[in-house]
Amino acid sequence: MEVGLLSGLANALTLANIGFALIGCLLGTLVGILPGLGPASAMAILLPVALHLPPTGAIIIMAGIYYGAMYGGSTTAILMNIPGEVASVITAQDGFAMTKQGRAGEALAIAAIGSYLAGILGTFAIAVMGPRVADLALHFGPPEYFGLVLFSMTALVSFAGRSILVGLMLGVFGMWLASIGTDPLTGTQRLNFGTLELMKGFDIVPVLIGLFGIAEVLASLEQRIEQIYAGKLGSVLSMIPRGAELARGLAASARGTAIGFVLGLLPGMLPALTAYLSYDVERQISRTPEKFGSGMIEGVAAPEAANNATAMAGFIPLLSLGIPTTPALAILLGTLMINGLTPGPMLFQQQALLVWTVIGSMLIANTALLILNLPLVGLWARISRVPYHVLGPIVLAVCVVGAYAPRNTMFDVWVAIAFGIVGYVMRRLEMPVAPLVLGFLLGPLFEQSLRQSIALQGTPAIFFTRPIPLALIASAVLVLGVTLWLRRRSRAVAELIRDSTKES
Amino acid sequence: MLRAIVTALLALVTFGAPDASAQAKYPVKPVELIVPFVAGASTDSGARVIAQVLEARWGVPVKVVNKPGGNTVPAVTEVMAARPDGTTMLVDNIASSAMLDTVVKNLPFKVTDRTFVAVTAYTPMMFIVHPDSPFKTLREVADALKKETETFTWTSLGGVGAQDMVFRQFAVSAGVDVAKTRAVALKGGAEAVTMTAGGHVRLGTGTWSAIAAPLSAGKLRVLAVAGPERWPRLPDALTTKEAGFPDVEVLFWIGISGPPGLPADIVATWDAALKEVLADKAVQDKMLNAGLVTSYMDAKAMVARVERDRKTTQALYGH
Repeated sequence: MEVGLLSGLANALTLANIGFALIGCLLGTLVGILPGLGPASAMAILLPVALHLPPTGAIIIMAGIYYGAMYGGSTTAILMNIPGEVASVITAQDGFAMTKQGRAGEALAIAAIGSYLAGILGTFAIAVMGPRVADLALHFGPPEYFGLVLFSMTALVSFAGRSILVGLMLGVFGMWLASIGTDPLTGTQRLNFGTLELMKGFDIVPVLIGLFGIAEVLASLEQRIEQIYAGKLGSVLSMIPRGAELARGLAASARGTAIGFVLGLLPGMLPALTAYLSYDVERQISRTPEKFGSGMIEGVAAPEAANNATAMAGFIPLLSLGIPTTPALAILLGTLMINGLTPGPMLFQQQALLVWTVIGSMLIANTALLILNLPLVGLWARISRVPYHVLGPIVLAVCVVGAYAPRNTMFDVWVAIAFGIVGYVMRRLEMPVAPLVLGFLLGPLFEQSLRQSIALQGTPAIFFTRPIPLALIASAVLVLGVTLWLRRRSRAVAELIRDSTKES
Repeated sequence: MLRAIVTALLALVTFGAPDASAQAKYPVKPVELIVPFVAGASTDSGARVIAQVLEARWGVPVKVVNKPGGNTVPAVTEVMAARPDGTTMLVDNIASSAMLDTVVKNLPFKVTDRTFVAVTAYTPMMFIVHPDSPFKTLREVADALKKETETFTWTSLGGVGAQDMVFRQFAVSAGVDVAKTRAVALKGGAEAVTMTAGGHVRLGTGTWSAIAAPLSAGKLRVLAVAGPERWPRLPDALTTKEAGFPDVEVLFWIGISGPPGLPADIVATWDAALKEVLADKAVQDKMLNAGLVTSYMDAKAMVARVERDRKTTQALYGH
């Protein structure tokens, strides 16, 4: 008797399993909306309860929290420019711009639809490919990662804004910030100025909350904004994107899914990174790259699909090899192990029904998330019309709690406030925040893969003797060259147009 | 806030009414168990299994709080500075106690000042290789290490942790200077196992919780278990002693400690509770699933263990 997706789906449709999926989705959405409380901490809190549940139920709930958070994370990013999850940072760029134009509903809807598309396609990809592609996670050694990181860094240039020099400096500044604290490889202390708090380094969450949430409140105060959007909002139905807008969103979602899924098979490629990369791809292939940041639907659809696809893809190396690609999946691995289930190909054979039930529940949970999220779009969108003297203090309170939550230390609240001021100053100087965050995310991976590669062979020659790193480094150089050339040309074209309009 | 609500709700849902032992004067307030590592690793999973049974037994919330990073120093410092009333306790282990003052200079506290309470469980280090590796025995590895010292790659956690300790012992037994070998420094135990399974290094070390899955997928071979007896889930894998290396034995133990000056009655309450809880077969099974063998040691035995491991560490690291 062959156990497959259909029997798994049938088993996932039992009342109890649907219930577990719904609870997971609801908790995940809640966790996603609250900045600071990430899926990893929520899953850790739930771990003792999971020990009481049947294994299938425990894993369904945990998985639901994980991808539920990917759905929920975009909500505050779009509405208030506070990314609820690190993975939604880049969504804020165009999402919040859409809110300011009264298009919050559209942005929220396409985020949910994009996530759904990624969830469903991702589930089928897991079902079809399953353990066969898991080996990719093992084949990627330090030199391969270094190539990948170098390639990802080309995105710095396109996020740089007006001045490439300033953008690159911000990227380096982000990498520098990430290097403060204990060297993850040798345990040596770096740049902590003798303080205990800096030994742990900066956590990404308070930094983001400061740069986005608190800086946003400060800027709004200064501009004496009364509402994020002062115009009228239409009915819920009118907020759902349609026609050409929907088509563009869906195409971007599909591309985001592909990028997020493939990269998501590799450990260390966090949903936040793949979201960044897919956003960058959208801008590179767009006919109107200059409009990104001012409310392009692709800029919301692609990263939201990518982060969800990355979350889904992580289940392949987890279930078939026991390799967790993100901290949240490490906790899921712990749950499996405590329940006496060791991941691996044997799991697919001995516990086939369990594995396929979990995969089947992903279809149900993703559908549930869409049904949960779409009707709420109208409700959430109204937040953009709440008077700012009411909304502002709430946002600040959420920021403070969110900064405290991940590591339970007051120090992180001060960090968030300090970065709030940094973010505000950067805004005043019209500096882009994106390269700083990208540098912060890529920095540790860059440093570690470089040092480990050299430790493996003793010389940097290792990057040129292996095919994958060589190809990635060559592509990085190529992309960099093309991007710089395009920038120069588009500037020349822009000048031509300006000159011609002057003449006429 | 949400965390508090969730914990309270969970306490209600899962455990119902507190049992009679809650009438004792300790504990009456919620207990925080500080884990100096990330959630999901062996130490954390083991702490959560114990927290769960203690919570049911004591009728007060026993929360596991992860404070990872900084070589465990920030987490330990916090417990050292906490009030000695038993509400803040440390999930202690070999890395945060016995190895710490050798590995980290200028600690803001003395390692032996804390109040040691009990050891709860241990997990032995295991030597692993890629399935296609030419090494069939630990002896063959030692020969290769001796012949090709300068190009011999292995998984280090940068000097800290049981991974490095066990390799150093092995190098000493093989008569090789560890400084001449090619240590590939990694972020954590899970990465060390992935690197070995990917065939990127020649020898890896790890604990059962990280090894179990790739092993079942046929991506690894275990050469030897650096513990006093064979691992229950791997009856065919030799111990290091059986493989001819009796001096190579590192147990990654975990236990409970408190702030300096923790009153004796609180220590006694913990001791009694842990002793009983750890004798429970269901708890033992869950711990074993998390890769830990339950092994109860009282405060006195724990202090002796820490002292012994400290001396071993100092000798290995040349102090």
